[in-house]
Amino acid sequence: MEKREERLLREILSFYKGQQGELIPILLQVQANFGYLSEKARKLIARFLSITEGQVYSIASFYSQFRLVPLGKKRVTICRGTACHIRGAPRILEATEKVLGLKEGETSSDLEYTLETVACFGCCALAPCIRINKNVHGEMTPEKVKELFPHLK
Amino acid sequence: MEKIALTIDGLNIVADKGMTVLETALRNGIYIPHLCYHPDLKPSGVCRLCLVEVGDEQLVTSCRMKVEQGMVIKTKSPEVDKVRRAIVELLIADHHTDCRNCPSSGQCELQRIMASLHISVKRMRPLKWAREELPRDTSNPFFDYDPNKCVLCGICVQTCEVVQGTSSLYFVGRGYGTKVAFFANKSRCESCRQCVARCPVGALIPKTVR
Amino acid sequence: MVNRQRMILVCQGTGCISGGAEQLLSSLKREVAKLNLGESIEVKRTGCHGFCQRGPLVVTEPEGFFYSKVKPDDITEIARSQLPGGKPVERLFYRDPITDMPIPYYRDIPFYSRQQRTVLRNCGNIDPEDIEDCLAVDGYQGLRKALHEMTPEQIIREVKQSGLRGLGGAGFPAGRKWEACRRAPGDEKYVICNADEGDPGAFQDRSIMEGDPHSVLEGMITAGYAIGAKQGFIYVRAEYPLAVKRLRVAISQARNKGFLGRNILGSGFDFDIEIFQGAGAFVCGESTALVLSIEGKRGMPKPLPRPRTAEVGLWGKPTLLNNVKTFCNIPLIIIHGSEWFAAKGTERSKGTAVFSLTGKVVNNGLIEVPMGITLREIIYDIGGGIPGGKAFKAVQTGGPSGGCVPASLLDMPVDFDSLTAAGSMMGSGGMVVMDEDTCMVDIARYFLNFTRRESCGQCVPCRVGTKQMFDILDDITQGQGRLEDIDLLLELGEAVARSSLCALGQTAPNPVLTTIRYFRHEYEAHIHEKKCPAGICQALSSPQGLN
Ligand SMILES: Cc1cc2nc3c(=O)[nH]c(=O)nc-3n(C[C@H](O)[C@H](O)[C@H](O)COP(=O)(O)O)c2cc1C
Ligand code: SF4
Ligand code: FES
Repeated sequence: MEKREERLLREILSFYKGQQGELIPILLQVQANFGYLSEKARKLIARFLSITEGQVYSIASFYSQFRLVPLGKKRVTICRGTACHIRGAPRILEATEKVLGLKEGETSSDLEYTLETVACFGCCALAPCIRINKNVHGEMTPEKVKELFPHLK
Repeated sequence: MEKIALTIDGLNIVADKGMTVLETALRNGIYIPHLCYHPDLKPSGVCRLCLVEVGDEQLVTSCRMKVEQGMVIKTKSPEVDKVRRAIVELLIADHHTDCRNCPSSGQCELQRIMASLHISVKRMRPLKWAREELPRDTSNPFFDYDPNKCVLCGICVQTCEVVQGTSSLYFVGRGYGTKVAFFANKSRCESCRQCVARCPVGALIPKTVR
Repeated sequence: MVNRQRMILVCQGTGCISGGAEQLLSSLKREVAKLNLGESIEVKRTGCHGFCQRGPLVVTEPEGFFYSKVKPDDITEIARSQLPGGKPVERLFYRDPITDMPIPYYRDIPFYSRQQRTVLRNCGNIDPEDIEDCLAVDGYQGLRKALHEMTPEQIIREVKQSGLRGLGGAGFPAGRKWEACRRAPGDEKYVICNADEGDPGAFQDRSIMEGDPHSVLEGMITAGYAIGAKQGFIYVRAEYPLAVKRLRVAISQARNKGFLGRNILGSGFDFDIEIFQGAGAFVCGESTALVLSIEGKRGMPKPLPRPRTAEVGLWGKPTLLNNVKTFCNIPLIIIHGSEWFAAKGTERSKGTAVFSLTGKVVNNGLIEVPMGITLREIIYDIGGGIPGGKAFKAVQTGGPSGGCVPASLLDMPVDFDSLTAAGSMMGSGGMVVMDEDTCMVDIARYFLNFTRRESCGQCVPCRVGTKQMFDILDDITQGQGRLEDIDLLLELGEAVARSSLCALGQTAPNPVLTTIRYFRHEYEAHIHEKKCPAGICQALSSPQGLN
């Protein structure tokens, strides 16, 4: 971790009191700033909360939001909620895997794309949906998936 | 000490107040299968094998249930048997059953439970056996961890916490992917090997054995 | 607030935003300014109208014109139509999906006209980021009455008498929980709003937080006063950034107005609310797991026997946990009285139910109906039936804890007990409609895949049992089914349900058990004939021999 990043991390921590109840909010905030929870970050957080690194890892690995390895710049998330499922989410996932050349959970080696699935993001009325970073695209079809990544053909 | 009278499997038994049903049964020579119970630790109630019938068909974990005056407990009943057998079979189908080559063979709690319920691998339900072989964790200098055999009873994790006051063993992951992981700079593990001694199966094995 | 006569309401719910409603709102504002109409027309952001599928939605008041699928290019027309003598933009009217006739008015659209919106009373009508708007529709009047005219005991009696049952799934009587929490010894108590909404296919709690956050706060503050708590938490699932933003705004506005903080409305009662964001774990909707998660631990439910959360909860203190919708009902019960509330619904399920109606149904969206309405009314009258002339097959309620209800039960009333009797659950409000093209084995496999991933992993039957059941179902959908698999699934399902530590495992087999109960022939077709009658399972041939 570079000096600058360490400074940012310490600044984030300075807003907290150092109690274990703050662990999840801290992890969320650190991840929002750094994209993932690096070993160094986990170490600093553990020290700040007076818990062990093992505890931080144990808790972070329980929650599916937390990433322990770096993610791609573009996070492509496919909803596998019930409404999306019966309206064809498996085919959307398949199509996206093909376009990106990635399997669910993988990140491209150039750290450009990460392909994930999520239990549901609550856009069920627009099923099936796909999200790229913060933008949700509804009523997807395998053809429309290709249009979302025009430069990848 | 206040005494409590109850019936277990039709036997009249007197227990000390505050004892659990499982402790009372074991002390009176009645075996109730159990994997996650250890006399020195808090009962976590996660293996679900010690389920017994209390009163009208309600199933409760005997390791966490305190004795009460006039309680009527059945440790064996068609209901209990059905559920317990299914849990044991599920565990076995998910467990490395190469007992012959397992250093814990003979001292394995799972073997004991199978014997007590007359379960044999050959006559089990046609379950799907675990297909993947997970790598062992050999990062601890004193013992190895074999996730293929681990039943996630949590005894080692709690033991490390209680004996050492801090912990080097943690649950990591979630759901079916949960494992026990060794975490710490080697200095923290005092090599007391209590965790290894208490492992009810063959998941924690001293390095010297192999 | 300037009281302009004419309003244009632009929905800013997550659904409409994904259709471009944010740009829509800003171009409308620009357009209104350009046309110099700022004095006479108010452009208002609102929360979710419910009809997300037709979004972005725009409604004009006082006429009540309802425009659907609005694009930025349409904006000038809509703005001009609001001028005296202006003509409504007919081409944007919602059209009846069967007759294709345009339906100009909000109130005439069948999707809305059959509903009874009480919990959703303000969603879509007020600006969720402006407390003045909320105050104009009686916001915080319930709290005012509670603090100034009622004792905590009176409030609890009112809630008890209303018959309100928790709307988070299990339907536990709210008043009894409040009473237990009030009676629990200790001066430090907490109120938690469960906004984890983990069921895939449900978004009603999200829409309420996005559309009417103050009603949630008001219910929580009233609860705090009733049980004697000073601090509240809202546990919001991680996937809901917009809900978190709106709640933050609402909390700070409520503080400024003196509804939160010290000495609320001069009553001497102190209460504050914090937002806690979840980190992606369905099991954290379970009360003990949720509490552990706020404490910064792994969310692994605590086994019975144990004290109830109402007695020993967050940091060991008595804690009242209710769902978003449960809290939303409170201000109404306080204002209108328990009798008013108890008059709605059925004998044992009072009030209304909010559902996210989705899947293979013409009208998708958020609906609110009185308890006791039939499934047929919901799916056909409100939902508009099944699209594409297909046949209805089943409706799934209760998410991964619920089950699939077949066509033969379409006339069943929708309430807690009837759904449970049918092997399903009310759950927190997901309702997914399935048509003839849905494979029920695939659906069972889908839900077990969910529970398998979301099991906390601590207890054996749930951790290993859901995985085993998934493996069996997966093999069946791959054409590897064995004759004995159906019985095996039933036996394992029963064992997992009876022996799991928490309700996640105890209910996880429901999707399998109900699909076997009502659609056994589909399993048999997969296993015996190696056919998928719906043509979904790709490894199997479809009946028409298309594959
Ligand atoms: C696995 C699991 C997940 C749950 N998820 C939710 C949820 O997302 N939202 C909710 O309100 N209740 C959920 N519940 C129910 C809660 O445990 C609890 O009963 C409810 O929040 C109480 O509020 P109520 O009485 O107002 O319904 C869940 C329960 C279980 C076992
Ligand atoms: S039933 Fe499932 S979720 Fe509940 S405690 Fe057991 S493993 Fe965890
Ligand atoms: S010994 Fe009781 S649950 Fe394991």
